Amino acid sequence: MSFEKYNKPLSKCLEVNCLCDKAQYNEAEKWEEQEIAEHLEKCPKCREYSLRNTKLTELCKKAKLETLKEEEIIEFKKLLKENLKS
Amino acid sequence: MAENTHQINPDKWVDSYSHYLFNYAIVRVNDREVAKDLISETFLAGLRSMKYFKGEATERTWLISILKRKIIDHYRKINSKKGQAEVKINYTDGDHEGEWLEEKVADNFEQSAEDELVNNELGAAIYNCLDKINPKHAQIFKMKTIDNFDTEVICNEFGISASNLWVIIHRARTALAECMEEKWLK
Repeated sequence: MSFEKYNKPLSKCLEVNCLCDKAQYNEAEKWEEQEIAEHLEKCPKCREYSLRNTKLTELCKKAKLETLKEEEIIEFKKLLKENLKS
Repeated sequence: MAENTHQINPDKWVDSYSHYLFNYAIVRVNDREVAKDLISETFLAGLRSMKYFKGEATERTWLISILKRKIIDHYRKINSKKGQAEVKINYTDGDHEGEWLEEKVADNFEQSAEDELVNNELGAAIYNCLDKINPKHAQIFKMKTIDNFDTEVICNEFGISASNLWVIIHRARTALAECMEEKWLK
């Protein structure tokens, strides 16, 4: 899959929203957090995004989600393939 | 009379439903290995009873109805081991199990604690929405949010830069939030 389309220059709001996402995973640097704060102060739309984003993180934590690993998925496929033959 | 339009295609079961079934099972049995065993049993029972699928329910609802029975069966075994056979069920097994399998079950399942029920519903809602968004975005979101992979590992896996990854995560989170807005984010 090509990700070229993501290499376009980002608008300020998109850039800050991405930083907000990064902050949700505790991976934003100090200067990025500062940039978020400065932008949110003057952008109501991004403030709304930030609020909703925090809620989404809370929901994901609350749901205690787990996923299957790639090798487990392969095992299921193998099981089905073998049993579809017989 | 409703049209029976749903088709069955076991070749797509793993890609389409394994994560959903896994989430459904694990919140109920709280054990990764047991959940995986139950899904294997569900797929095998599904193959055995495919001939009974009438297309009245969706393939996913049908598989969930099988899994639900497998979970009940699992608890029945545990209870009988403890000498406390409290779960009473009434269904046949083996080749005829497909006869009861196509009941239209709701994807929720009674549990004692209300919180657990809400969390189960929430988990199902998140997986439902992830099924609807760009599959690559969903995959990267799951790796980052659920499996807690390092950003660098995901970037290497997909051959993307860190900024590409955050744009993808942003797209996934936006789509997920839109999908969950009505019931969970208001």
